[in-house]
Amino acid sequence: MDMATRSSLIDYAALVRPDRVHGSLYTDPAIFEEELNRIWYREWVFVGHESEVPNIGDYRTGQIGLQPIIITRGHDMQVRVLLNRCTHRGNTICQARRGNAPTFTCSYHGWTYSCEGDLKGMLFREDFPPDFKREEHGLFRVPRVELYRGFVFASMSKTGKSLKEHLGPSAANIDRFCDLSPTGEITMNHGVYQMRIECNWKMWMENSVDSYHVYQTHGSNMYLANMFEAKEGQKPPPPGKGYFGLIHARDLGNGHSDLDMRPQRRVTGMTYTGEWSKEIPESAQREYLAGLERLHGKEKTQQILTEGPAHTVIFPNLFNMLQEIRWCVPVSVNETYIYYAPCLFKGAPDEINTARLRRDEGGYGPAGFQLADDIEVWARNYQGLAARAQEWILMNRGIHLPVEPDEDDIPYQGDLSELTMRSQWRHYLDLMSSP
Amino acid sequence: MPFDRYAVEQFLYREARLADEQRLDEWLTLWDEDALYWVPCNQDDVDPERQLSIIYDDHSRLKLRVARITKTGMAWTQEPRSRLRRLVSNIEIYDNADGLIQTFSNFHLTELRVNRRDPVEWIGRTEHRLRPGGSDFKLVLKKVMLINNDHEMTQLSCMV
Repeated sequence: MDMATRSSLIDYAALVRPDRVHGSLYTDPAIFEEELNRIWYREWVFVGHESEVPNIGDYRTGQIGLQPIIITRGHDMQVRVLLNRCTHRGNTICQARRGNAPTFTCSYHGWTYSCEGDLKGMLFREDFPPDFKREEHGLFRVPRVELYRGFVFASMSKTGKSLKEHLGPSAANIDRFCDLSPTGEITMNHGVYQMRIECNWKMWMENSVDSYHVYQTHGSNMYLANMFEAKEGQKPPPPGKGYFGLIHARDLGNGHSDLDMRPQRRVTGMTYTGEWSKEIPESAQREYLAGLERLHGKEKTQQILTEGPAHTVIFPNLFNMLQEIRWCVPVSVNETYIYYAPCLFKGAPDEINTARLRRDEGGYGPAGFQLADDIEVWARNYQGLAARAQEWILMNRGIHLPVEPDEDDIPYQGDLSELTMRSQWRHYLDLMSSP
Repeated sequence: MPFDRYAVEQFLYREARLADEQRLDEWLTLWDEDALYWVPCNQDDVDPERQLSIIYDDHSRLKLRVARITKTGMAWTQEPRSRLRRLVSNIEIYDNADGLIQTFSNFHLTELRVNRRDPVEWIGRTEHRLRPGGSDFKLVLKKVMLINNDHEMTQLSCMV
């Protein structure tokens, strides 16, 4: 039954090199199958945020790898992750994306489960054998579910590292984000972008910590401001690296990595509230600041606002970029679902949270000024991989630079280095080639 | 004020055609300064002050949306430009107390991306609110309720 320990015929060490990876890692269906068992059905996977299910009976459906799940809030207020699969004949028992229901009833033979996953009722129960025990046929509960500051992670494996060990220093990046809320809590129940992208899931993961692509993929935005001033048909000069080159590419371990923007922010002097548009009334900004200071004190508040939120990929599927939580679900070797949800600050003035919705709409939805082009470029990248006479994908930018520990003792490189991807692939190789 | 059904329909068809033919600078002139272009997300009747939208453009953001495609040459999802054609039907027209003409219509838009095999279908219901002025109208609101706004979708870079 434990597919994860079945030995592989694929020599991953030959496909993942320090400076390049083989194209088949993105296109080979057999590799995708092995990833399901060795990564998605064994490691910690992000499944949602507890604020999506605030009340008893709230649920949201989703997936761990290809397996359908329901995240529920039980009468004991515990968050559970259940398989969306009737224990009788295997039907999915919940069809909606989200909602509130005290029970789930299978449409096939009427087996009914509580929101804790217990089997409560069956049609014609008297016809089953006398030794049938209802309590043995509750919904499958994903063996390990742990929360970190409201982020819900699940693992299909009964054993393994604790979530805390798994997250390691990347937990501090989740803290940096939540600490920007005047209550220390964020909420993720204000809508979600749901998108289908035409590429392998790892391309999304790599791109999320690729600082190099911004200039070209998002060139339309970089040029937009100048375009109104430029003469018709005339292109403004290409942007230089500027302060962008100061961003640190960091290896947080266990495949996690981030683009640490603090060195850039320190030079520009930009604070988190300084990035806000003038449309947020000053009274709201003052109220927000007062809330932070009540929680953290003046000095820590200043530090939190100067550092701002982080930009982190937590392997394999969580990307916490600034004010959004993003995650991916693999569909097949060449298709991935991605979900982008804004996170609002619990207890912050409405004007601030609404402005943050407007910001996300500008950038990151299916019609966003940035993400639409990312999706296009990923599809072109995947199309290009069909050209197999040329086998390798490079990720050697900055590999010649020294890797040094930063102020947090985390290895980093500057200057738009691809250290982030190299750290993802090193961990991938560990997972795929371990027994 | 009685409305001229023919004139209202002509406006809706013209708006659709300019979007289809990607004559976006002309399309932009149909909108009034206080306009809102709204494509809800996750269902049709959400409060945009508290819930995310796919598009929630005021006039200035709409101008940027158009400029990104027509002026930068780097809006990759529209480089090369999609081929578009839509059907608009089931038009219902109401004369509102606020002096605006309100219409509801259905649309079926096929988008062909030049570098893709399969076309994308965008289907939904649109509410327009038009402000009569002179011999024509100005768009004050276009709300587009896509039937798949609570499902995984591809990128939306054309004007629905």
